[in-house]
Amino acid sequence: ADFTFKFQSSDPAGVKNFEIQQAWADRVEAMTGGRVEIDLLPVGSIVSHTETLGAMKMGVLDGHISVTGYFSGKDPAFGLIGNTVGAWSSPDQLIDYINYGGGYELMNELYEPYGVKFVGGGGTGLESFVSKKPLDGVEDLKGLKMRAPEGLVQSVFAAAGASPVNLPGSEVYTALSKGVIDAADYTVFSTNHEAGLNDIASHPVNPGFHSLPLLEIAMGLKAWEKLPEDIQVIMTVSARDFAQDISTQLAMADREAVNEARANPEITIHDWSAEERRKFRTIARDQWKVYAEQSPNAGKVYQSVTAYLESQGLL
Amino acid sequence: MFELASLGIGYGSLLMLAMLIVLLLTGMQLAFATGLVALVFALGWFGPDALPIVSSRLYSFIGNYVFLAVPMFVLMASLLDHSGIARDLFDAMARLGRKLRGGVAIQTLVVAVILASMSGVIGGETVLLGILALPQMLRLGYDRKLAIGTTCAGGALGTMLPPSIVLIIYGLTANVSIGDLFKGAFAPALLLALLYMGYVLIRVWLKPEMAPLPSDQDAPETPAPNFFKALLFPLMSVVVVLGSIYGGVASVTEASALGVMGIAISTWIRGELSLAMVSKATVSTLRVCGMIIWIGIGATALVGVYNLMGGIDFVRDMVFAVSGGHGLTTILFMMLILLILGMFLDWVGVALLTMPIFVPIVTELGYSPIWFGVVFCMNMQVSFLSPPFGPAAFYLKTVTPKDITLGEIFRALLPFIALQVVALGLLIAFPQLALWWQ
Amino acid sequence: MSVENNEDVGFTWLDRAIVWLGKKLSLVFAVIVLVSFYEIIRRYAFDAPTLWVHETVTFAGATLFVLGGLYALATDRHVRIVLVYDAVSPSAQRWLRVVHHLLGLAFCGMLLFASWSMATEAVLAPWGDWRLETSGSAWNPPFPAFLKVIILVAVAVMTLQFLLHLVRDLRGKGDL
Ligand code: NA
Ligand code: NA
Repeated sequence: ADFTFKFQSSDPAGVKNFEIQQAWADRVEAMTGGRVEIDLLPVGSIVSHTETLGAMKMGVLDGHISVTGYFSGKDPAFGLIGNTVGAWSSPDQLIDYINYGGGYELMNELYEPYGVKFVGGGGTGLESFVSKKPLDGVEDLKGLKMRAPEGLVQSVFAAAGASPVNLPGSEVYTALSKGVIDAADYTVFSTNHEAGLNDIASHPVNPGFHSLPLLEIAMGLKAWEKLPEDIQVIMTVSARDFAQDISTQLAMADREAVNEARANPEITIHDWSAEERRKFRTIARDQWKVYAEQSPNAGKVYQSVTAYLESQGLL
Repeated sequence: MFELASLGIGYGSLLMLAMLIVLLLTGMQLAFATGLVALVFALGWFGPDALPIVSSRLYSFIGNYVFLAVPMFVLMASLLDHSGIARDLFDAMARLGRKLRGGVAIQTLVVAVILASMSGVIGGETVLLGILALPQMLRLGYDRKLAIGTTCAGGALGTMLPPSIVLIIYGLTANVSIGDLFKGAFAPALLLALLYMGYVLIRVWLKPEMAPLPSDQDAPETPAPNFFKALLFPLMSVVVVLGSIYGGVASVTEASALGVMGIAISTWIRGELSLAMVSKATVSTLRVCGMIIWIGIGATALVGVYNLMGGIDFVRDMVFAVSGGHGLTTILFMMLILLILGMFLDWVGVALLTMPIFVPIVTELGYSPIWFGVVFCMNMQVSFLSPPFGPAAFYLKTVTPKDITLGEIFRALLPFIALQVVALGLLIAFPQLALWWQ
Repeated sequence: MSVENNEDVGFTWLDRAIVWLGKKLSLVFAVIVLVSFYEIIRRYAFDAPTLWVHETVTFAGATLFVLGGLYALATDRHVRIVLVYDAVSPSAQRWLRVVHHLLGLAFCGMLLFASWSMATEAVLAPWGDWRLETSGSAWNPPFPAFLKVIILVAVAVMTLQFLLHLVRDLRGKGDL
């Protein structure tokens, strides 16, 4: 291979997300006729998930497949674009925004000073909300003890009256089964279901009303600039395909899992009304404004996303 | 640069290992030796731009919330050490020692198990038993090796019986539930303790002169300390810690903080708590954590650099080549590697260096990572006793009479190491020992 | 942890300063216990978990871990294999120590460079503005920036520790 790249994933080896990412890496190798070889490493192999941006700039890592929201601490802009809670009602809407609505250009503008190239991205899927208590609307979130990842999501849930706590992903199952928490912002329905979360917390809200994190493929800018144009195009186009690939495959797995769950009398799937979803979105959008004021870049993200949503009649 | 990369991963790994061994043999600190090798390879293999891997991993390592359980458990043990709880416990158990042949050794092991359930580290208990139990056995004319071995192996049980910082570090590295690991370790820990007791009873039954019974002048009947005063509150705090972990009331870190509160309140009720005592305990905690965490920093740095060199795949392929992908052979091969590493390295180093490589292989082979954590913990029991680097022996040496040499301690530990290997074998043969509750 | 009552002293003026500071700051461990306890009470008795406890105790603990490394160096408590060291003559031991100090300086020198680049990135935005890296949570404290700077300072102090130990042993005053 002319180029051997080390990419670090934000997922551990052995989960479906990682497999789909690995398939992307294999396709790049095939499409470039073996000129590019991507060695995909599980989360934490070289640096922790919050430190990959710096590692790419330094050239320690050539690239990553990760969640943009992890870099919220470097600039709230990443927290806002990384999981614009309440903006997208499906991964397709997010993909449209990234590919054709200005998202790609904005991400590259934000990453350039960090020496990072945003190659492409999209959403894993609209996450399903795990809950032990029946939740049929925003009112039911009041006082709900729940786990949420750091970032905008936490602020939104806090604003909605819930009590979000930090817990590592590996403790979510035990915490739910023992009643430390009653609910969790974890991941998509199929993965939650496979992990047995719906068995111990039998009132999932699906489709979820909350998270749709941006999952991205990015590279060190220096490494990127060394690539010939044809390979750059292959990377970009394959990243677009990757975004479709992961959201489609997970959506299909979700539908299968939902059917399985429906057949199980122990599990009740809750689907929020349009009215309740709108209420939650309104709360989230107030938090966008709070975030937008935290840095000039966050302001740019706010402008870009709201302008796009308006142009599409989604606001 | 030195172009170390031109060596290829095979010779690179070999050079890394050789460098580490030489540095360690000169007596250089483990933490700095591993860190230095990591930095030299980062620089020599990739160039100066790769050096920040080490600082980045240092930062992420120490900033882990769950890790805070480590100082909490060390603090709990330090408070326990600075109180009279262990002495009262030992005296309260004295009845065992009076009528039964080998009774004081059994009494020592029972106390060791109770102390182990209150403490998540080794060191303190070994030293306490070395002060309380060993002199009494020697005075009664117990076989020296039996007395020394019982004291030292018993003291090391602290990390086998939950709570245990070995299991916490494993849980963090392997990303599995620490509560589940604690549940899994219970039966194997008790099995190991029973093996020790069985061994003592059989030895003294075969050779009664190894453990003379105390005559009446030897051990005058002293009033046993008030059992409730001595034990009720400490044991309640144990129940609080383990109960809140198993019952899921609190995270491991919070439960460990509750444990410290429990022990502190117990010492307060006993009239022992003072600012001076707390300060002594927190200073030992700072010192011990400085040691443990910096070994961890060195090891995690080395793993990061080795990963970047492509070392994980190399070791993985090597493990599969040796074992032919056969499950049990792979596990046994891993056990061999761990036993050898445990002779030279501190357990923190062993855990952080090997588990990122071993655990994915183990799960891929279809084994439970919970079970493997308990297996690892049992293996590290051996590492505490095995020469030349045997921390439990070192701890005991700090309080034994001058005529007991480190060599004699290590020789006394050989049968106990054999028992540990037996327990390890049973645990591998019967994984249900660690998984029956599932 | 040991019950034996040996007071930590330190070898050089810097070591003694670290021991002094360590003894004071180690009490923060006790504060961590109390604050964690407070958090549990808040959560269970009042259904009102705080936003700040989790991140604050993690930061305090991390800082103490770094300090603990300096403390253990100041009091020679870092784990080593003394098989060879104990077997050689006192003068050979002194030269081995000189080698350790030099290797320690090599370790610190490289780590200093690495920590410097990490710390500057945490306090400066890529375009050069002063901006402290935050945790990204709902509370969003600048602890990541603080901790990265603390690491840099600690490594600098450790470098000085090794240097002073080296001078001491070269002068033949080392009698560890
Ligand atoms: Na224990
Ligand atoms: Na050993």
